[in-house]
Amino acid sequence: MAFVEFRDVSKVYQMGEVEVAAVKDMSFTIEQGELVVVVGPSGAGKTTLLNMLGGMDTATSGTILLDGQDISAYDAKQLTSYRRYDIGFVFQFYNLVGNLTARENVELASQICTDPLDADEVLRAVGLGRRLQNFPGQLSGGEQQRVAIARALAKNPKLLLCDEPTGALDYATGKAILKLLQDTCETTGKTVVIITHNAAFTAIADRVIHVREGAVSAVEVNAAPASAETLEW
Amino acid sequence: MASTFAKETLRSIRGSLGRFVAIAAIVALGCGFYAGLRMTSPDMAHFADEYYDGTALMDIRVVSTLGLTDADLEALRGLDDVEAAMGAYETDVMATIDGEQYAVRVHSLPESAAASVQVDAMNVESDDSSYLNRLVLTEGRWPEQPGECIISADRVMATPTAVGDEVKIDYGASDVDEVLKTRRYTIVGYATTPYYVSSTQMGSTSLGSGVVEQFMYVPEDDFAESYPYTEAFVTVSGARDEMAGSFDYQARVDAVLKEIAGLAPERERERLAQLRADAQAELNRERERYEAERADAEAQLDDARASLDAAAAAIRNSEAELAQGQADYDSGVVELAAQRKAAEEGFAAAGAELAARQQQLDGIERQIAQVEQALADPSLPADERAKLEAQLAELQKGAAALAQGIAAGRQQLADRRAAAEAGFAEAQQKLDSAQAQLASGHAQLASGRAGYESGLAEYEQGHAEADERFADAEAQLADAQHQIDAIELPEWLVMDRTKNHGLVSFESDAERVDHIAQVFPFIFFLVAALVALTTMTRMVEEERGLIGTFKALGYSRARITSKYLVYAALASVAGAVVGIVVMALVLPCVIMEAYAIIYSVPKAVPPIDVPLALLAAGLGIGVTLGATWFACAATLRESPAELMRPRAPKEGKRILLERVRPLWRRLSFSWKVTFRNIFRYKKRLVMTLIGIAGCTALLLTGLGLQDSINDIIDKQYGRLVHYNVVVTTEDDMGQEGRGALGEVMGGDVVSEYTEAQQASMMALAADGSETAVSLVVPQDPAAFQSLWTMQERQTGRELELGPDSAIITEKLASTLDAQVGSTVELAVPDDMGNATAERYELRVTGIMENYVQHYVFLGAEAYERAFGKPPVYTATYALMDADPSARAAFSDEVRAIDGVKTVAYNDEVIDSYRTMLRSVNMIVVVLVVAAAALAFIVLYNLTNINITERQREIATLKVLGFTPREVDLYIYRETILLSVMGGLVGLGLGVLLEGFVIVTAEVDQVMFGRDIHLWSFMVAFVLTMAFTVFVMVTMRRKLARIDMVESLKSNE
Repeated sequence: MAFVEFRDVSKVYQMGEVEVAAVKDMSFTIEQGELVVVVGPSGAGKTTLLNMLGGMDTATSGTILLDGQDISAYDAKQLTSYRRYDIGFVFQFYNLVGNLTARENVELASQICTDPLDADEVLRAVGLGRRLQNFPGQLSGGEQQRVAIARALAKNPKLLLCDEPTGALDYATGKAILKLLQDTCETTGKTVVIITHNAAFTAIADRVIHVREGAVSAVEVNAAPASAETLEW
Repeated sequence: MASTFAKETLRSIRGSLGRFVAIAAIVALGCGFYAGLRMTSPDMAHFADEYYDGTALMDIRVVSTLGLTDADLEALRGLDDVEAAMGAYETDVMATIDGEQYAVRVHSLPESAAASVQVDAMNVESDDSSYLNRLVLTEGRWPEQPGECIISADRVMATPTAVGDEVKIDYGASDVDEVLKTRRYTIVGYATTPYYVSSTQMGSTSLGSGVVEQFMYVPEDDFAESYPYTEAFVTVSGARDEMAGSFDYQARVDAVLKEIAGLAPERERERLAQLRADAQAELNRERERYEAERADAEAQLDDARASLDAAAAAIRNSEAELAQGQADYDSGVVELAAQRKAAEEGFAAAGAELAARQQQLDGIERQIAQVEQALADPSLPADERAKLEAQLAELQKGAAALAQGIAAGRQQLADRRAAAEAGFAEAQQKLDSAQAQLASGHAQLASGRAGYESGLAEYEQGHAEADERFADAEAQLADAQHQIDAIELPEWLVMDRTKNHGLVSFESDAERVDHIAQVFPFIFFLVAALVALTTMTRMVEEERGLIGTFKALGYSRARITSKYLVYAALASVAGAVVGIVVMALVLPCVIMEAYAIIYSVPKAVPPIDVPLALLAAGLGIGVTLGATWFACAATLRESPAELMRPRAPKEGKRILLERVRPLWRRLSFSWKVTFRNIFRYKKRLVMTLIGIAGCTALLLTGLGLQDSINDIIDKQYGRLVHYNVVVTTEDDMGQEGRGALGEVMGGDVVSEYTEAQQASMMALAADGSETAVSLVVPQDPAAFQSLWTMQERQTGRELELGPDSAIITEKLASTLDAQVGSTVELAVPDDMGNATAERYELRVTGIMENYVQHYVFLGAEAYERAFGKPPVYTATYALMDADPSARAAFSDEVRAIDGVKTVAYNDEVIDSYRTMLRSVNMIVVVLVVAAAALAFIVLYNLTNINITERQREIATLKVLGFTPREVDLYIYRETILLSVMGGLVGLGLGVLLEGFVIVTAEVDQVMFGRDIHLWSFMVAFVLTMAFTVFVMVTMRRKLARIDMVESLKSNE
């Protein structure tokens, strides 16, 4: 059985009189430990997909299964603990708490989990061993994104969801972050889902899901993904 | 500028109504409170003025030491600026109403009162323009016949009475019967009058406890005809048009005061002349009557004398007659004896002749016998015999003739003797009857003489008595003459309204409100400025991009700033208008309602004082605009390019607290973020701290005020004063009365009692101001102190009242600026309550805790030294059974004792204070509401800004899987912490604020409690927290509504 399964998932927004379907009858599966890249143009429904998968948003119809659990049937409370224990999020704009140091930002997440990783270790693992005491404002974009990844990882989630993780970063830094995500996937065996509009990223993925106009247009499984270091765009 | 730009401004209001309302609300609160409180004092003055004008309250009161006459009134009316003058009678009495005794001032009710028309609670119209100090009848009817009265409608200082109850006058300051025609009155109505505007400040009197406790109006006719007007009330032309108490008002009154003062000497002299002339005429009449009576009495005496003299003459006459009678009698007796003697001599001669004849006979007989013998001899010659015989015959013939002669002589003598004896007996009888007559004449004379003697004695006594009476009458007349000659020039006391305790008290209370009004709104304005500053800063920050765009489009800095200024102006103007209109109506009403418990000044819808409203609005709007301009200035200096980029988020910074490693390490991240946030946004910190501190301070002030005022009673009558009844007696109470009083006091219902001297005195401060004090000299200081605890307030140290001690009460000490060791001057007050010239000096040995009235406690020696005489213990302080029936029986028993003046219970005082203190509760409510509003606005604003500003952060937390509760806490921890800090600061601030209010609001005769109770601190703090929790609960919905997807989607 697949680790993640989307079965005919739709998300319809009521925009005044008009119904707009951001996601329409979307179906796909993801296996455990895979690095998945969801790719598609702006407005294709990638973020909606991710939000539903991450428990930030609910599906209008269809079923979402994660590790055998029907997430689409969760109520708000269940979704909260789902986000809390099972999901790690990484955003384009990091969304760190500006008033907490790097370590505290990680602790912010780890302190609410049952089985968290050590904050310092995770930060060292993402290469920020010497920046533990710095505030986000004192860190570069890449460093901030590393903190964000560390924060997501420290929760020891089942699924790491990244929404345009390199979108606000320069090329080199972006690449380094992708490398970090790829390494994380390999070393920890976590399932990582990266959303991007950049088709170049598909090279490093175990599985690529192409999204277009709210539906999955193609799914390809990459037998030999490239290293992020070799990536060029 | 009806441009797109303007439209945009309007839309931004619609788009951020919460923010707009927050600014409007705090400005409303600030301006409203300021305007409302500041207007209260003028409103009070305004209504007082209207009430005084509407009831024709006197401007000036003229009292003469010898009363006033119609001529005096005419003279007053004749003054240029006098509008009207009314003569009136008054007298002070102690009267019993419903079993309780009060010091009552009795006034004459002008006849025009009954015909007056009550337009409303403030206006009484009358055809009689001389009808001043018009009464507003609140219940019942006007007196229609003698013996009916109206008393004060205010029931604060008195037990409740009803129409039909009786007022019994016990005694008066002067002889009641010379002043009033009856001592019993029936209450037929209740009234208020501006003359007694305060129910606690009716004036002072020489009776009872020294203060007037009740007023009473009786028909003019109930005052004795001979009683002159005691006072004249005067109104001043044009004074009505001026605001009572204003400078212009006082100027007009002062002018008339001067005119009256100019008139006074002449009137005084005339009054004296008139009084003397009247009295002299009366005296002269008396003298004439006396002279007539004397003449009459003397004539009567003379008559008596004459008849006595006649009686004496008669006595002398009869004495002479008796003497003559006696003499006649005596000579009669002598004559009779002589006659008897002569008769006896005659008889003796006749007897002797008879005896001689007898002898002759006897001789013859013997010759016969011899012849016979011779014859008998037979031897005898016959011749001889014949011869003898012839001789014998011869002899016998001679003897017979002789014997016959003797017998006839004898017979004759016996007859003569019998006749003489009968004559003598007759004479003797005559003499005897004359003697009897003489005896009865003597007896008559004796009784006549006795009658005369007693008549004489009577006469002499009557004469002496009459002389004495005349001497008395002469002395009386001389005395009366002396009195007439001694009548002193009367003195006119001319007093304006500043001499009326109630009016002054109302004015100063109004001023007190204004003092407080100047301080309280400061907090609100400060918070308004901070709210505006933080809110507008946040708004400007939110609209950075927009500002950048406008700037890029070429809008000037001023133009862009104007958007925010217009926004702020609209919010603050709206707030100011609503706040001022509402509060200017509500606050004065609430405060006046509170004062209405003590003052009879009616209230109505208060007018809005436009200059004050403008000032308040100007302050509020100015502060808001200033803050807005400040918020805009920094941002607008940046270039459009900078503005269009999201502003670099404020850097996280280490705070001081982190240096305290052991503590910091123990804090959870959420506390860390809370602390960092608190210190990151300093404006919000200050705003919230001040706002919450203000809230707590207001609450504490309100509650503390209540504590302080309740403490007056609770401490005074709970901890310090233990007696509950005081009985005062006449100075010269008889031994019998003392004994009776001692017996009642020794009874079962009284558990403890002791005696003291009690006197009303005036204490004089260095600046010459006078304070009424009670001087108490206990007979047995130890016993007295068990009924009245004397201790220092702060140390609680017991003060000893030795024979040489002088202990004064705390408030008096501060009023006189006296310490232990200082010398305090006392003086005896006159009837008007002013100090007389003589001064008595005391050295203070202790200052004791006391809350109600001023006292000086003296040891007996100290008293004697200061006053030069020993104390007279005329007051008995006792602790007795509180049971009402026991008390009623006690009262009756004590009042029945001859020489007892007053019986006063503390409970009456306590009850009246409690009633008065209800006014404070309303103020507390106002403060609590204001505090709540302040807390809501500040916390709402803080939370609102925190939530909108940290929307992404909150969304992130939600994404991280924080439960709603954890999210709430994450944000609210800051609110809670600030509330706690603000609350603690507020408690400190509250202590200061309360202290200020207490000292400002304190009245002369009372010291408010100085402690705020622990409970009040707790309540103030807990309430603040409750407001905080309420805001948090309200704002939870806003937190819950934050959508993760939406919040995290866009870049800023």
